[in-house]
Amino acid sequence: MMQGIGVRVRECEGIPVASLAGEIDIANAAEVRNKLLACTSNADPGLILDLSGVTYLDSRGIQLLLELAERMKMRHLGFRVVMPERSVVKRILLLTHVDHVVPIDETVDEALGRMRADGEGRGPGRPPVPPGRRPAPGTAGPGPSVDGA
Amino acid sequence: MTPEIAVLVVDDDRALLEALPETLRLRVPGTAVDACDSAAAALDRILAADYDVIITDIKMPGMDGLALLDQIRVLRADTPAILITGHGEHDLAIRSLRAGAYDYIEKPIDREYLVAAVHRAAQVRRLRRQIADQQAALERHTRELEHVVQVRTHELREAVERVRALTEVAAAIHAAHDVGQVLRSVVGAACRLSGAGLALAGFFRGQADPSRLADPRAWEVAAAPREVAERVDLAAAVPLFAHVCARGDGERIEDAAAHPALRAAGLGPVTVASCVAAPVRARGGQVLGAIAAGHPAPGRFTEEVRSQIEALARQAAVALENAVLYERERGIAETLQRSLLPERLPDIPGMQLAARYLPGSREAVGGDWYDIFVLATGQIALVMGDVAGRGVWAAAVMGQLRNALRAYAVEGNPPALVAERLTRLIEPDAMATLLYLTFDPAAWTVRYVNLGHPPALVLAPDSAASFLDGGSPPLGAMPGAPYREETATLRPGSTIVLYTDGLVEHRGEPIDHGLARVRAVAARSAALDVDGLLDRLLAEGLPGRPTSDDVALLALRALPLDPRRVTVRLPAVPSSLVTLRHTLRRWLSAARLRDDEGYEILTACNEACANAIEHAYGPADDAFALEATLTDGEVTVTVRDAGRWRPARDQQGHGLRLMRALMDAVDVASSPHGTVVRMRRRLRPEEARAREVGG
Repeated sequence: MMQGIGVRVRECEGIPVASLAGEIDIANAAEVRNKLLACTSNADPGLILDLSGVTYLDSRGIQLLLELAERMKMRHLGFRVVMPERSVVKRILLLTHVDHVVPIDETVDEALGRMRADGEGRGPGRPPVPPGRRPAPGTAGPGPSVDGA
Repeated sequence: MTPEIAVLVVDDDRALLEALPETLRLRVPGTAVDACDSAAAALDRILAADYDVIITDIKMPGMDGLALLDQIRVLRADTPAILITGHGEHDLAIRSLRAGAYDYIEKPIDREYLVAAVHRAAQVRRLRRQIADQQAALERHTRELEHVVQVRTHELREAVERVRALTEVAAAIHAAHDVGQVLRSVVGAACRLSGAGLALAGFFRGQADPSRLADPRAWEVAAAPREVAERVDLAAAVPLFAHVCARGDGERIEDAAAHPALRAAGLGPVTVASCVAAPVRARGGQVLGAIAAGHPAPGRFTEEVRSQIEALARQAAVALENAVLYERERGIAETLQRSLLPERLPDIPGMQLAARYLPGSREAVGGDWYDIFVLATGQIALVMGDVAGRGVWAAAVMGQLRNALRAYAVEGNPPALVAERLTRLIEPDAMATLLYLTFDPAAWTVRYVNLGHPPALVLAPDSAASFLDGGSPPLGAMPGAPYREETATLRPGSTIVLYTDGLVEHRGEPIDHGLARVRAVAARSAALDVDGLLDRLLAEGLPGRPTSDDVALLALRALPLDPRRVTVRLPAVPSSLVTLRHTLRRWLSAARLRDDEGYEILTACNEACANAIEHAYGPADDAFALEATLTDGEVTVTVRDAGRWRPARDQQGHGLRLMRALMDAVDVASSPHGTVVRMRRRLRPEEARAREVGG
């Protein structure tokens, strides 16, 4: 049982849609990641992650989204996140440039439409990621030595 | 042939003194007659021999017949005396009769009359003697009877004492709560059974290892009577105990000095010259302990005493086995129950919490439990339950219910649904009362289900005390029943008190009285903190009653937050972040920040604290502290921990970048003693204006 977060996975027109509800933080991020990785197979077109019900997301949640995107890309699967415009969480995604790596849609329907369209075009369904803009391991982490700056 | 009638004739007239005996010998066969010529000589004879009849002349020189008669009445009250008077001396005759003479004879003596008088007198004398003999026999018999009664009474008393002593041991078997208690009653009984000057009883705690019989540390020893026991080193009895245990049956020791084991026992200042000792063995034969009775005098104990002490040992064996089983079960139940009660109450900022658990009687552990935890929604869950029954079983049922309730509650189910699920889970024979309540500190509302439990008490800050009414039947009483969920709105600063029936139910008193008393005590206690409140409820809600039931109490008071400042101190563990965010949301709402701005500050605080948790090291009591203030439209946050931020890893980079993006200024200062993060954010002007509440 996961603390503070509910994960529900359903299938819409052959595409798995995982809906999260609750808060994602250090206490449950790892469990959520494992559960999400387990719910897609390479035969699927990809995964739609619905964060409409998420009321809190911290840097571990951001890390989780970036890691998922990485894994999906390696498996040549599509990955889209659903986040309503008015959600307080959306600003956190923008501040951390998650939107540069993972496409964000307003609704699940919109995400389903885009993923189908990508699938028909056999494209990766994601905007190309400029390497310099993506936070890569070890590039952006300021340690104590730079804290005074 | 022994003379049937012994007669003494006293007369100064020599002729008569010769004639009268002759006549009597001839006319009364079997008569032995002595003759004296003076009263003085007669007295000597009377003192020396017991005559059947005394015949005496009245008129004699020296002591006369009447004086002699007085002496006879004193010396030989039973002996009839016949007095001889002169012819016509009626006055003398009457005087002599008044003085106690049996008869008188006038001179000249009519021989026929004399013979008849002597016959009659002898007969009277014989009858008197018979009566006296019978009376003596009767008295002797009575005395014998009395003696028999005394002996029998004494025996009966002793038997009663023995029965009482054995009954006491039997009673101890049923009332046995621990080994010490059994030993104390066994030594008391041994003293009374044997008349011992010192009785000792030992329990051998090393059943698993018989080689430890001689090890004093493996023995628990009691002694009686107290004044003697106080002078004895009880461990010194162990060699004697070990000896009889090894021997296998009871032993009577007549000469203590010649007995090596008893000599080794060395009871110090108390002299034991004779002794009876017996092993106490379980039905399976294994050694449970031993009993010994000692006396300062040698040869003091009979074989009967030995068999009594052995009988006592058999009783003691049952009692000790029960006590051991009981101690074991009680130990398990206690451990189980203690492990199920919260070790300490969670530290929830802005909440005062207190709990008390008062065990009832010593017989068995009850099934009371309480629990408190924070739900993912920030609501606080309070639980108070009471499983019917006692001991290990009740504690086990309690454990199942507690864990299941936590699981269902943490999944986010409302109270009524949690209760419904518990109903399906509870064991068929089990029954429990339960009060499950969730408190929303932001809205000051409670939701609860009450399954046959006493109502929760709410104490408002203005001293108004009331109960949260409404309820359903106990858990297990009505399978499959839907449970009524109640809601209530509390006034800010209110205190919620949950308790078990031990607080309000007392024998011989309607429960309404107990409830009224608790409410009255609470109404006088609004000024106290929650610990003080619970202490007073226990002190005055249970006025001097030794309660047999357990009492559990749990209190929560939520204090309104100061919009200018909030401080939070939490253990450095991941689950603390939920509590942190709930507290900060309450504060941001009290400080009336705009949602999006509040959310961003909340996220920055969370990141700083998450780092503190990541870097926590060492003992589990590591903690971090956050302080946030709102002054002149600017929010300042300080987070301190005892750890050192290690060189950045990937996700730490995200955290710090987020903090820097969300706040105007972020400063991280690390030292060997810990890390301090200071962050600042100026609120947007319109919010800042609205914010002047606090200033």
